[in-house]
Amino acid sequence: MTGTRHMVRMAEQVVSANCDDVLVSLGLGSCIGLALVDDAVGVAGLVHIVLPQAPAAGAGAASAKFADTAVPSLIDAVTRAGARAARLRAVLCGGAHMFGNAGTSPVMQIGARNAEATMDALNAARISVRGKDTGGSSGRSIEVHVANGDVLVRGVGQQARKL
Amino acid sequence: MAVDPRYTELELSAVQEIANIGTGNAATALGMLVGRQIDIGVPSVELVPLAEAAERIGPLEATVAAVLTPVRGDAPASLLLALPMPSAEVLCGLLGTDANSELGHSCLQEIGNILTGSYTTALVGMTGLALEPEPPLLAIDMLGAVVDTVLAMSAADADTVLFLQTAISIEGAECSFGFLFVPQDAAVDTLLRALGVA
Repeated sequence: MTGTRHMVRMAEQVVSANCDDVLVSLGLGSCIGLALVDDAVGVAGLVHIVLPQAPAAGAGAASAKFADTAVPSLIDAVTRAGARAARLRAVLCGGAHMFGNAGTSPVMQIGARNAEATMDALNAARISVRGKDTGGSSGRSIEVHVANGDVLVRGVGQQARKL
Repeated sequence: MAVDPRYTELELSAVQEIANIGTGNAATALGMLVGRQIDIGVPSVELVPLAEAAERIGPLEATVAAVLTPVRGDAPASLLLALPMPSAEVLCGLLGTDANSELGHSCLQEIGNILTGSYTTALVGMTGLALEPEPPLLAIDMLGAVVDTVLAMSAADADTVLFLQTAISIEGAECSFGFLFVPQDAAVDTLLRALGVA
């Protein structure tokens, strides 16, 4: 099998059991890139979360868009692809506050709310978090290597760091 | 819930007219500031799935100087200037500053202020809506990272996002950049009603 670099764009989710695949989200600001990996079987998923909570009345919106629906949806997808829920490890990054000094406007706190809602949903599902790089005021890109479950995070002009 | 296609051709061309007039006004103000002719492209109305929106604006990992001006009032929106770093440097150079200095940063914010102020004035003139720009905010980072919050605001309740994009360039200088008007979700309908087409 040959590998593919899957771009996981805003409100998208990709799951792979192909060990040559790499899952990538580029330029996360207030958005969250959440990876779930089971390296014992070589299954990984990445979701690009945009907002913390789905609207109350079933909006029919993409479940990958909201932290509270994206986390259960990704767990479901990776377990269907062969991962075991008990072995899943989460890595998340993003949730930045890109425009400094935005005061108290709730709109501008989206990054922090995204990170918090994602952690809440992971805790509720009892998924342990292996690595986390959230908050701050810089953008990030995330790369998930299905082969070994490695997750690399990189900011502008920075070396990639393994989480 | 609203799904694509949310708007008629007539509605989209009315929205495009906002960008035509708004950007025209903004370009005049910029031209006076730098003392050069400003070229503005034909504004495009982008109505695309959220997943495709960011890459319509540019390469996601390109470093840009982004000036964001939130607009409050009847139709909440964001105005965003996204200058690729080389263009930000040329623009600051024309004004006698360095894009990587504190003065350069203030200068970029001031350009944002002038452009969004004149854009908003045009918009208020066309629609009669009460709109008030907030102080501009600057970020120098990956394009994808600086646009995701404003796109998120526009797509909170829908899976498509609508925004207006215009390419602006300064004649005789290697400087071109994007100027975006991104109304929040419900604001599009408010704008259309005010323009008399909804």
